[in-house]
Amino acid sequence: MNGNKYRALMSRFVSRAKRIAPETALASLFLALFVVSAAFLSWKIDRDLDPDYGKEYWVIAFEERGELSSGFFIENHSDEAEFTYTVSGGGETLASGTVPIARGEKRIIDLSASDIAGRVTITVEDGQKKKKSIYLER
Amino acid sequence: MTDIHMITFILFIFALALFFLSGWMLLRAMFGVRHPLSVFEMVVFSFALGVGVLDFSMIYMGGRDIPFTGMSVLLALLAVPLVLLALRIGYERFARHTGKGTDSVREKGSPFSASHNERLAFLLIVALTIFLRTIFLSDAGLPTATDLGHHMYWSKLIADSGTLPEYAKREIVTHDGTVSLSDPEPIADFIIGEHLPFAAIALLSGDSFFSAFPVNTLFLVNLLSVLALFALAVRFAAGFLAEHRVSPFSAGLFVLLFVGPLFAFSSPESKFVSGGVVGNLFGNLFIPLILLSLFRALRERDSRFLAIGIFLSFTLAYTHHLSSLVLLFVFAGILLSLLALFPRESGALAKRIGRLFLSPYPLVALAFAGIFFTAVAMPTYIETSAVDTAIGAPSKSTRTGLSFFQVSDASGAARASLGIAAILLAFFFRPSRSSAAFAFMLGWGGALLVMALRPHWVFLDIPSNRIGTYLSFPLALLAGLLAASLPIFLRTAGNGRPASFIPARLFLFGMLVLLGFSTWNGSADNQSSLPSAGKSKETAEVFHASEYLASRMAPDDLFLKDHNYLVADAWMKLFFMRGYDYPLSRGFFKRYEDETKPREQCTLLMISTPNLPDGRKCFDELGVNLIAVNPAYDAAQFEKSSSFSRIYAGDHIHLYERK
Repeated sequence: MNGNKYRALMSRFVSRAKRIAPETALASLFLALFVVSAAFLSWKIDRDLDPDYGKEYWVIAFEERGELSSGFFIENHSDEAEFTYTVSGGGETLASGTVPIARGEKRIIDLSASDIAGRVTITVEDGQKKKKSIYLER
Repeated sequence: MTDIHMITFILFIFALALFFLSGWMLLRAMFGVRHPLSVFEMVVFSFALGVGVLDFSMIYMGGRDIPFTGMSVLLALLAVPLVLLALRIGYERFARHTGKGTDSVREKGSPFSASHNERLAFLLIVALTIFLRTIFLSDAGLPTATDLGHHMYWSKLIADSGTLPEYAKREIVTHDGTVSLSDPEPIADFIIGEHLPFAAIALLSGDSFFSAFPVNTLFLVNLLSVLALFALAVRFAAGFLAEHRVSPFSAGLFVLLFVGPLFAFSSPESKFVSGGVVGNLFGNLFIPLILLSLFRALRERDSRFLAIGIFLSFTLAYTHHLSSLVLLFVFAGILLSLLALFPRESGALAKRIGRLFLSPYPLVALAFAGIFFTAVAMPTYIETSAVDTAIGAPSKSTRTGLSFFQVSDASGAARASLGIAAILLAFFFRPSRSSAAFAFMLGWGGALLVMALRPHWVFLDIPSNRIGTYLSFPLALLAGLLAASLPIFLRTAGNGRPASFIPARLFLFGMLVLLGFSTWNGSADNQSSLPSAGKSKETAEVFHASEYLASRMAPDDLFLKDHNYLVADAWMKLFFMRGYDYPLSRGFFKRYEDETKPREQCTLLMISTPNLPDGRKCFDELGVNLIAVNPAYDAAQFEKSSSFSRIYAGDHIHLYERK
């Protein structure tokens, strides 16, 4: 847009703006400020509800309730990249392993069904040696 | 903001705009093109009337089994106002064609005319008001608040089912020593008008309830209530200050200062917005608007304003029972004030009020209210006789009234002291004693002071701190108008001598001290109310756990969660949508010890002592098989037991299943 056209456009805008009654302008600015604030709050709260943004946590759970055979999952929302799991029951280690899981990923780990009665425990440890465990009473 | 979030935000703003459009069409239909409303009044009245139109249309549609969808909600908002507007335009064209006049009259010499400096001051105060609230809500606005979770459950139910809800919940009852869940019993505490606007916005915008839209909606309601109080202050000031050359707009700015940026974080301001105290926020919007419309009806003898006041009062009755009760007491206070201040004119006043009521617009409004109440639906608290529980001698120590210190604490020392001073001083200021505006302010402030300080005088049995939150608006109004009118005491009399014995410099010093104290007091209140860092991580975990469980539920599963240590636990029910009482909840510990209101103990025992006989009995008889707790407080008792499996483990939430 060349300078003359731009100046003409600005001049038309200013003259139209001057014709708006002051009260209308104030009320419009009031509502406009609300819209801007609401947009900011919308962005901020959506970001806070994002499971990955600014968060450091991971969870473990059985893929199916009460079912060992369906396995369990680790859902990672942290900077940890590797998780070590151990399945134990009846005083024995039934299975173990290490899985890489990127942030935002959920990994299901299959388990073979076990005949062991009593508590079967799955313990998961991250790179910082933080542990969580879930267990099934059979 | 991602594209999808941007689109839903734009649709959200569009949905809000429809409320304004609906109300504007109604105003246009009533007043015509040349109307006696300022732009500020047009904005606040439009929104409030739009809410009323939506509520009554949706209640009517729900009663006729017309499902709620985006399209039907759009019709609910626009159909009736469009028809009325079309009739109005037709009438205006007919009147122009036949050379008859219409009742459309523009206001001459609006008190909202402002100088350049006044406009600048308005912008600054409003910008600060909005900025401070935004700061507060940026952390506190996360969907975690208990009250907001409860309300949004009902709104989500309306949006998901497309029907009106039945406000009922099951209770744990003991019969012949056996514990069980009762059949659903009606709840009086929820009123349909608190939930329909949110359901409508969700249907129109497609926005999730797990977003900012509930808080943004309440934010708008709060800001409009501030604007409504400003408009009311300007009208009042035009009544008795304008003749003393005090600019009504400037007087309004003082009130805006006391209710906007100062005490911005207190209840019932930002705290109520983030806390989701929906009914109270709508009440604080509707009450000033109803008083504004009644004031203008009385002063200008314009029955259309009376019709608006009747319609908004009726809308409030379907939105919040406590605000409706407060309004009734305020009406009584205003009536007593008018009779006390104008004893000789009481007959003329009665005639004026009678003539206003017996005019077409108010009669139509009353007829609509009467027909709707009797033939369509009445508020749930009327049906459940909840009124009986609010009237009577105070039954608990928390209902016996607040002290002056507590009122000062709740409303802010500056507002409370200046507001009460305004009431006392005005009795010595002759122009105010002969002003209807002062009668309104005295009635409003006086009624609430009596309800808060001496509830037994008016047979009120409601928690006094709830009444105390309604005091901030009338006290801010009185305080602001007092501050604006103080220069009158320094005006010179006609003979050139000062009208007051106070030297000008001393007076200026006093004004600066007053403003300084008010600013410090309001800002200190803000400072002390800043929320701590948000709980987004804990919230994300609780929501994830709820989503996990909701996708793996069997029809006969019964779930119990803890309210004391889980963040955002009240929002868990939105994932299951199996009833307001699902999941069951271990409430605050003190509630189980309340001797005035004995409660079931099972929800406490099943989490606190699940392995003891009483706890096991509750599990066996109720059939609860799923538990959610915060492991930092409640993991040990479940780990010790061989009856529970831990099926989900996060940092701040564990899920247990009983076998």
